[in-house]
Amino acid sequence: MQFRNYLPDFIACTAGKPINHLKSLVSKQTLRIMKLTAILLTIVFLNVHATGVSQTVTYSGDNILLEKVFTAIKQQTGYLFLYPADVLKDATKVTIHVKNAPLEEALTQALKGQPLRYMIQNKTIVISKNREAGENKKPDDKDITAPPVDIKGKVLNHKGEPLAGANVKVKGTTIGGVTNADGFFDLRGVGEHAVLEISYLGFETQTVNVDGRTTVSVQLALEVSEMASVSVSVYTGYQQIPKERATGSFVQVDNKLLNRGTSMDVLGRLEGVASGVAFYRNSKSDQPTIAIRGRSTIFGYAQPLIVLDNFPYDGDITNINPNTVESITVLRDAAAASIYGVRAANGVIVITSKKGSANHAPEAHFNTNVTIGAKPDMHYLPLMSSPDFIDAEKDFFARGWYTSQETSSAKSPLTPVVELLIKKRDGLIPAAEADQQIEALKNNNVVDQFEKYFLRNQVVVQNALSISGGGDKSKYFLSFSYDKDKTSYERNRFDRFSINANNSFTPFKNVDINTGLMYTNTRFVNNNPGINDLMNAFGRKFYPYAQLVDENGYALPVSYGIRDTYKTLKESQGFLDWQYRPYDELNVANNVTQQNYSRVNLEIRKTFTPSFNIEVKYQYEKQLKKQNILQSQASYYTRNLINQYYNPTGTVKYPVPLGDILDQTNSELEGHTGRAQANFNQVWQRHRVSVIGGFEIKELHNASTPARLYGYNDETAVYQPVDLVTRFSTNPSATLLAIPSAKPITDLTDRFLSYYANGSYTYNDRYVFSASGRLDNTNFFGIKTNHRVVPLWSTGVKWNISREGFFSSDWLDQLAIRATYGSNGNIAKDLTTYTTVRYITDATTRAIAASVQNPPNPDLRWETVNMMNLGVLFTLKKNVLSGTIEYFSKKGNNLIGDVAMDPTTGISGFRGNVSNIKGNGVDVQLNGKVVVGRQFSWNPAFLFSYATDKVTNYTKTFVAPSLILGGSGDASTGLTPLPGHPVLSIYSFAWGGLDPTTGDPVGILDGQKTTDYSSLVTKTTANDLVYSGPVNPTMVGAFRNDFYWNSFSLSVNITYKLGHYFRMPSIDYSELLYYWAGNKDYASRWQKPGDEEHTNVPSIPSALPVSTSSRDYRFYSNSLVLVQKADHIRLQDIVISYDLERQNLPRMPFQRAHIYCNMNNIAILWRANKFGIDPDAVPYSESRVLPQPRSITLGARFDF
Amino acid sequence: MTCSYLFKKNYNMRNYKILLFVFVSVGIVSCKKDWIKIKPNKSVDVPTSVADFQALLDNSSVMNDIRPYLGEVSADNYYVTYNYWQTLPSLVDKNAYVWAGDVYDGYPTDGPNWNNSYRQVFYSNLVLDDIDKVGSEEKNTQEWNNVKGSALYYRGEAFFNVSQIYTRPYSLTFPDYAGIPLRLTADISDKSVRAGLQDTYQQILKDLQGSLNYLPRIPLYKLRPSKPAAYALLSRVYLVMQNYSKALSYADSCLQLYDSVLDYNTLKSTVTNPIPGLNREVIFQATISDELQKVMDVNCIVDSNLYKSYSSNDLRKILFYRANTSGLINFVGTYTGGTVGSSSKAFGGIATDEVYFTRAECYARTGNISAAMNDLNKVMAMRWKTGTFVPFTAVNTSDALDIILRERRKETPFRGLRWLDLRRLNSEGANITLTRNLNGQLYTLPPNDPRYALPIPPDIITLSGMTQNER
Repeated sequence: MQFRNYLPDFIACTAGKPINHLKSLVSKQTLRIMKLTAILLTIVFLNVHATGVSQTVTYSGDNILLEKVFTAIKQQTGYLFLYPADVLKDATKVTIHVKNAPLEEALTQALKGQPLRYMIQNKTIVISKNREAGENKKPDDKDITAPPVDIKGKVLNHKGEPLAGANVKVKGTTIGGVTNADGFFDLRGVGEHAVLEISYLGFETQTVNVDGRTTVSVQLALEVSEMASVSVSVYTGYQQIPKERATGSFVQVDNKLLNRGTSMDVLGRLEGVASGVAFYRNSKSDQPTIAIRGRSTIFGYAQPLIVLDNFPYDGDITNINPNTVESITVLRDAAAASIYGVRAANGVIVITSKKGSANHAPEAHFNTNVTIGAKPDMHYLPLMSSPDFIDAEKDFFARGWYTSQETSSAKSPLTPVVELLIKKRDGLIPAAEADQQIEALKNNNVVDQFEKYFLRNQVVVQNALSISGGGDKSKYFLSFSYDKDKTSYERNRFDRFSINANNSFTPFKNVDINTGLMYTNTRFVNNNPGINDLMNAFGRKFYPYAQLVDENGYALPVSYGIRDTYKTLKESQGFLDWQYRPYDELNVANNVTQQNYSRVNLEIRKTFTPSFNIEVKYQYEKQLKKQNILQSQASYYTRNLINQYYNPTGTVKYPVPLGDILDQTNSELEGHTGRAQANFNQVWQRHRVSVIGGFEIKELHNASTPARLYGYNDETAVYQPVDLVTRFSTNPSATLLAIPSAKPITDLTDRFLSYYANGSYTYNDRYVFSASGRLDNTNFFGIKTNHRVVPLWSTGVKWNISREGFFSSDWLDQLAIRATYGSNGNIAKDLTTYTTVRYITDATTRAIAASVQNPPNPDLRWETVNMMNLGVLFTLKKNVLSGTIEYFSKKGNNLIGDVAMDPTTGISGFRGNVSNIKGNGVDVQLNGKVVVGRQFSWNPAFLFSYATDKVTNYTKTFVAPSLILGGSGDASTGLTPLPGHPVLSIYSFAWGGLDPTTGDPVGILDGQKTTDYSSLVTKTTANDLVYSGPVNPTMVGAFRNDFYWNSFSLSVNITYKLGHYFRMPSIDYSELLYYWAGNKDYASRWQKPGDEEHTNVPSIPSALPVSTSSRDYRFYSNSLVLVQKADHIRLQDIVISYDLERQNLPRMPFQRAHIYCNMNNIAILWRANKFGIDPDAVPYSESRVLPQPRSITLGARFDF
Repeated sequence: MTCSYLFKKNYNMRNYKILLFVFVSVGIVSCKKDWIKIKPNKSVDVPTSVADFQALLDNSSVMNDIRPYLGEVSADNYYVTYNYWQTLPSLVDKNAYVWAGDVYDGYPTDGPNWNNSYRQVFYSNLVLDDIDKVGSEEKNTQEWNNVKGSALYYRGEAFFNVSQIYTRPYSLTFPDYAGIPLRLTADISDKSVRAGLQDTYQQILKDLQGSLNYLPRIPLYKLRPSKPAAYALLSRVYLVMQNYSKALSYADSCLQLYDSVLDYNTLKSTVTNPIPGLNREVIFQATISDELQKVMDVNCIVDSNLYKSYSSNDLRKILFYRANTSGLINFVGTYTGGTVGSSSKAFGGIATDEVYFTRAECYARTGNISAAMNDLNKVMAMRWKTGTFVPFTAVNTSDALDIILRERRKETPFRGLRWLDLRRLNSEGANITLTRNLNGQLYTLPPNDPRYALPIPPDIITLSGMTQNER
């Protein structure tokens, strides 16, 4: 980027002569653009502050550097100076003596005899070279030959509005002028063939051939490269680094890109627009995990660090309202992130809030939108149909497989069909009637009913109002937002109200104070049990033909918990109603979580000299979360618990008292963070040094207090005491059990004390060298000091090749390369060096018990991740194409991993710093710009990120079944890394087809086909398992196309995820038999010899399967035949917007309106699997995830 | 917060620089030392006090819940069908059922039998390593005694439990048989080496006898060891060592302190598990690993000869056993009451009935027939339907011994004791051969077969290099 181009070439005044009229000519809007740019440029070039009070100057001195005079004037008047870096190089030293002189006089004196001139514009003094001197002496040929003419004209901005203050110059002459308030100019004595050059800050300079005309009209186009990167510097949370001098790998998402998305959570808006940031949606949870450049740890903290304004953010991410965010910067490599030390190994996401701007009239913005989401598609789940399910039950019944369940002492529930079959068998009802009833049940479909009564269209409304502005000495920004999300689950909703206030003021000379206040209140109502309650593989709750609601809208009971016959019997003996009616449950549920988050920031900066200042920052944050789950006596949970303990003949009839059960959890997060930092910035001729250093101190306290009240009455807030120690005999199996009590209290405190420094040296704007270091100390429990304090560092270089004298290219505008290397840290604070124990309440005695948490580990230390980054940045002429291509490689050292210990020691799972992983990847970001005519432009953007990880050292080995489960990251037993493969990988048993005679799945052991499942499961070694590939995509990216036509814009984003695998769910007969969880694969099962030619779905097993059968649950479910490629390409969204301007609609009550429509999750364009599975929502049987439904957002943004 | 409040402090413009300098220095200095050493999680601590140690030993899921189960799986109280055997998910269980030479057969580790027993040893050692280091005001208090005694008890018991699965039966004739690793400190860097069989038993006896000096007569919970429990366990150890006079005297010491017997006429056979947990006979509550609940599964059929040996007036027949839907007999009479925590468990602790039987047997073996029959009848009277009990009589010592051993078998099935008795009685010449029939295939375990010692789990062999048992 060449900053020279951005500077206006003001030519309207001669040396030392101010053009005071200019200020009045300039329209408000123009000023705004100029000011914005001016401020940014100021930061880039000068590092000055808007300080000072007077507009008169007192100064006296002989032979003084001109810069010194400027500094003095600036300090006294508060006016900013703006000039290109090289403009003062020819300036001579000055002699000046003024006392209480007007600013203009002082400037005139200062510039006397200099080849410079000045212009004052809105508290900014622009210094530029006086070009008259040399150029004027050479008469132009055209001037001689062609008679001079006068030219009048008008200059318009990109929207067709008059542009005041634009510079119009006749190329090759000194003739020139500035447009007036109406955009007109009038130049005299211009040659007939003259070429006009019209320029304006922030717009592309245009040349116009006069060709004999006497009037011309010129419309300027916005300088896109600049607008696209409004922030020409990146903010790391510690400092602003001009992009040009940034050696590290940063990705910026500006306000425009952020506002492209409409998600309620701020991080969601990064999806598909931030290069190197991947959203992994293949876990079994509904929430995506965010990874920057892949995975860097095994057991350490794996999420990127979130920084809000200056400090790491520890609150709930939903507290941050995206409407108050100005921009987001992602720090990807060591040089960018190592300033955050031990928390930076997974990358850093820096969120910057909106602020006011100085000298700006109050301005209001209002943004409102409504999103309508489609009902989630339950039919996506591969569930078994009612007829299939009933046929299977009849088959299983005929085989006698329900007998053990029928007689179980736990009185396990049986489905209505099985109950009917029992009655039929026992002659309790006529066979024909039973058959008829069973046939009738085949018409029911619980999925339809669930969709009808439990799901709905999602409606999200977001409103945000902000007011901002500023004067000489202060800036303010204030916003109110209210969002509500009526989720796609009936009776669930989420409300958020937030206030943000950011103020800056300058109470004294050289002292700046910034304050920030953030308050968010959220309320989350979670009454709907969701689909996992319905379809969970281990639920034994719903069968496909369950009826939830009758034709009159009344809730119907389903068979759940305990067998119906037992329930009916007990109800007749005085027990409470024991039926489970899902639809009633939905309506009596009362689960509300309220959260208040407040954050206060104070920042004081004292400037000592223009190049040196010290700042002190402090932040206090507090988050109070209160979760209230009121399970009234009408709810099944409470009725069931009361019934379970009810003892009509006992001394205590109701060990669990009648009344409601209230579960209340109060959680509190409180943080204090302080920072003191010194900043030094100095330029000597071609040398530029910029150094920061400081220390930071932080305490974060996190506590939660759960409580449970029995016999609670919500009307009177009275509860009853219960005996939590005695073990009572329970119904139905007479087991002695204590009454369940609340979860344990947690109380965590983190403290950090850190010292850091960061410096860069730039020579001649061409060569940049940077280095940073940080020491972190924390209350890592009991650890040796030399291990507790860890030095983390980085270094980087950058070469702006295009600045070199030898660089000349017709097509390349800018070219730079950069390289960094450094190390970031990571935390695994649950480990310590001593033997530690964790206190629990013993399940049996209720005494305080302790379990050994860590065996002694004297060598415990931080995890460190070393990263190297190489990058190329380029811009083609006219910004036709610009981009960055980066390669990185990283090595995680001292990662926490499990060590195989001789279990005779008493320890089998020992964790220490014993593992290593490595990874590498590429990030490519390309931005194009194709302009067709004046009105139309096409800006394509292409993002590609490749990231891999590979475990290089891991001592503990695992058996095949653990490896399969742990490898995919879903086992509760934890991760099971295998050297040579990614931390999260899909492994499976080799597949030998179906046995042609029995339809049993066949495995391969020692090269032999076998159906000996227990041998297969126990004897298959890690080496025998088939590795398919990683769980998470190795390649992610997007191809976005933005089209602009007049006031319309259209943006289409296509995203892709490639290179990963998933395991398809299929039928498991034991799950079907014991948990009523069927899969539609049942329909295509092997039934007769020959079927193995066209199906891989096993037959119904010949013998009664045990609850987690070796054949289906262990072998078939984990065999290679169910592994599928997860690659897919998605039409993520389409955004259409239209801008309305007041001058087009004069009666419009606001300046500008931006109307937009955003269609999200539109379609999967291509997927590698042929089963219609969305790899971002694999319908695992244990955890059902539905694809994100399509949604459409309509909204408008108004500027007042 | 000594540091943070400084940030809020107002400053004086004139002294700004000075103040800032002071603030920075003070901040660094004051924050450096103890501020950074606070513990991060309140519920995590380094155990140093008597209460901490007690809490470790009160962790019932480690100290009480997981006694080895492979002995019971290998014993002859039950059988399974071939079909069910085939579907057993654990290869180890399948192999142990047929006394395969290599029980683990590729499976690398053994949590319930080996690892958890040594976890109990580790917890005990953590306590024993540091219990003497507590402050003098805490020393030798009742609480301190209980902790020290319990730790010795648990260590001795764990060593004993492991030795009954992984070593040959105790023998004075083969003193060089390999014993088990005797880990006596919590230092995990020590190598595990197998001690000799004699040393193993000496250590078990030393720990248990040591515990007698500290344990209370009545424990706070039955999950904690007590003097009666230690006496009873010592009598069990001496019985295994066939030192009947010592076994007699320890059984006697136990019953002197605690001799309660449960009248089975008070129990209802209709309840899922008719014998209540923590009943008056229970001296020390412990359970066998969850893995054994598979033996209490409906598919594990009680040996028909065992079932038939109960007389029809014997309440144990209806309280211990129940026919499943197929008419086959399952065991339901566990002394845990069925469920502990959330899973059904078999009893692995100590109850007075076993101690009575031990004393009766030892009386018989030492020629005191009347005392032997007294002890037997004291328990048996509580087992028969009221009014039907006819006291047992014996004509001579061997008759008395036969009756007592027969009733002992019927009294204590599925407690892990049958395996101990098979090892002991066979080495005395009882000549009991176990057989299994799976789909026509016969498996036998002859008396005194080397397979009475199970193989050490493969990971232990690999990681410690200790010698494997010959099978």
